[in-house]
Amino acid sequence: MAEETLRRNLMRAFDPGPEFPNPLLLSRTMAALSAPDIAGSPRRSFRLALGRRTLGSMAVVTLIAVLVVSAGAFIAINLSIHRSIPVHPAPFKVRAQGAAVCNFRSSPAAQSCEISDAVFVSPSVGFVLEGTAVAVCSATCPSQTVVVFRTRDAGLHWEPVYTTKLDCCQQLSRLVASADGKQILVLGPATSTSTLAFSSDGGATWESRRLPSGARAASQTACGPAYKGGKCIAEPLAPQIVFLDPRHGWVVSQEQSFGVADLFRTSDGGANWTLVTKIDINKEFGLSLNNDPMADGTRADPTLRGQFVFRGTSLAWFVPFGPSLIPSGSAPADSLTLFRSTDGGLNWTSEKIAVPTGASAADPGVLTLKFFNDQQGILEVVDNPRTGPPGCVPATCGGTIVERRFVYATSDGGVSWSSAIAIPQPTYYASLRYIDADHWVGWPYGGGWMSTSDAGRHWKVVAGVGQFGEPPVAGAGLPGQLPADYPLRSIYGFVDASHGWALPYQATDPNVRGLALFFTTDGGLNWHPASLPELGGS
Amino acid sequence: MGEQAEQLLIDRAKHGDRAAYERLLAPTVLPATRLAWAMLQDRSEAEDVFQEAALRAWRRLANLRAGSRFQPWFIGIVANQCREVRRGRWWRLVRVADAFTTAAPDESAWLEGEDLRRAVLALPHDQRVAILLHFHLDMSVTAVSAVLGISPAGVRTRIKRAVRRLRPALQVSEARANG
Repeated sequence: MAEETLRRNLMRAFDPGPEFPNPLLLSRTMAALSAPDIAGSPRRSFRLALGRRTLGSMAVVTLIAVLVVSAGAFIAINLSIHRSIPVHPAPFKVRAQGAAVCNFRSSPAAQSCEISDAVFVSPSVGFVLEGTAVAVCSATCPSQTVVVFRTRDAGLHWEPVYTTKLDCCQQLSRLVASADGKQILVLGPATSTSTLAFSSDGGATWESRRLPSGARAASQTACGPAYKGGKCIAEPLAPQIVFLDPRHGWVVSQEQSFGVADLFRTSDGGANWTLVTKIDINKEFGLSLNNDPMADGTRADPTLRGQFVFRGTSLAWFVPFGPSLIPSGSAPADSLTLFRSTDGGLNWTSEKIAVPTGASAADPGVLTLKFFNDQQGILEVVDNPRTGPPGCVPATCGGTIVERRFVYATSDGGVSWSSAIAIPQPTYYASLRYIDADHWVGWPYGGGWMSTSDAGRHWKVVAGVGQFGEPPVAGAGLPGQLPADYPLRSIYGFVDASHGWALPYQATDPNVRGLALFFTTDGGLNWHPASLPELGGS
Repeated sequence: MGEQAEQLLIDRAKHGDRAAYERLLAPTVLPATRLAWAMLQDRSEAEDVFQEAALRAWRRLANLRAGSRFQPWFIGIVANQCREVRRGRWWRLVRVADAFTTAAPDESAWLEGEDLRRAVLALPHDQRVAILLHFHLDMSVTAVSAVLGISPAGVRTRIKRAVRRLRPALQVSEARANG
């Protein structure tokens, strides 16, 4: 009886509470076990068969050695503390535990933290790209600090591996990392001022790289009464940058004549670029991209809009976006066109894909083209018959038309495609992620997660609204009921079907909210907050 | 996990198979961290102890005798690691201040157990471990003896002495709980 009383009271007195231990503890421990200084097999057992006399001799020798070393250390320490040593303060504070905020509470608004990208190459090893947020690029705006932090234990600890100061109009916004986390590429949006930073040793050393010298942004002359107060303005047409991994990348850059695009390739992380070919846009893609004024005084969109995908030196695909989808001189599309090259972009052949049944044929747009290997890939299409850009929240687009998404799949490198699979309705997705040919996840506006493990044939809701602390939205997912400034982010991804990460929301109130990084180890069923590195200090 | 399957995993882990080691570790996470938390009263410290113990166990797997169970051996390492942490000067200096900020799941239950908690933490290490393993983690005397590496009779003696010391605090705790 007394024992039972003791047991009951001990249970109560030593209850550690919910969510203990951290669900990521085991995976973090295993990650720590894989650290270079620990990696390897357990030590082999050995036993010393030594006599007492031998042990006694060893003890005496050890004692003498300890005395000698201690005396030496004492002298060395005395010498060193009397010498002037420059001390560099640690430039960044890194929060230790918990659902850390990204400096939203402690910093002035102008210095607030912005996370531009996050990428994990394994369940435990990942990188985030943080910078001081700059609202408007102007002649007087301050320089910004950009830092790449790395974690090797799923967010428990972070260390800065790359720090740079940029002019506030420059940006570094994307991270590409190799599967082993050793090669890292940091790059910005594709403008002529873009620089790249490349490391091949896990961030220990960095080299500055540049885009190919010929890849200067072309400029279009935009005119018309409804455009910028009727003025004609030269606007840059940024080249497209595509990196398959930190070493292998491509740049597609339009020439000023608007009829030719230069295709460059690098295989050493941007140290050297090779001009692969000059693509005749009209001939290869049937897209007329002239900059001539139209009858109403406005100008056609001369941008080569679309998505290039490259795999290796030979396979490449291109799918035009939006209005460019319709080849010049054609009727409104009843099919999508995908271009495919098997010689690294020298020649392109077109493949027709029927518009999904029930979709509007007027303006289907391509959102994603992704290949998991040389054969398997998906093509995500949005049926978005309204004036707003694809993917925008209807409440902000002035429309109430339900956006519908469809996904095609190929298993022969894009030669043929499956019938379109419709994504469940009614849902507005911040974005969909395609982990592999079968596992996809969707992040609907209004919170929650949906996932499929059979290439979209069956979907399940794996987390409810509010998993990440988002404010509950009345009628989430229904047209026209979402707040216009609903603060969703779409930085998330999955390493495999189980392990994923997400930066789900952005603070609207700096006193109470911030950026948070969440991890899942069960395919999105449960999400656990982890710490984020905090920008601060000098 | 069956004993035969466990021995297979131990053998594979001894040859460097991390996946096998992870499968051995998984069932120990809860008891090991609960023990560490009870010993240290700090979540982060308890999780650190688990990690450190896991690394030590990995390095010393070869010392696990053939036929021995993994969990008692590992819990023993955790208990020793807790003792080392408590012995550390840094821990003694810092924990006192942090004791008031430790998150409690239920404040009233937390306060009711205060005397008992203090009394348990004031026990000698060997008695404290025996008490927590037997009553808090609900391990049998035989299992506790495997963890501590002593005879079941020795475990009973330690538990008996500890219970005697805890009796006054237990009465206070019961009285508080009953209003």
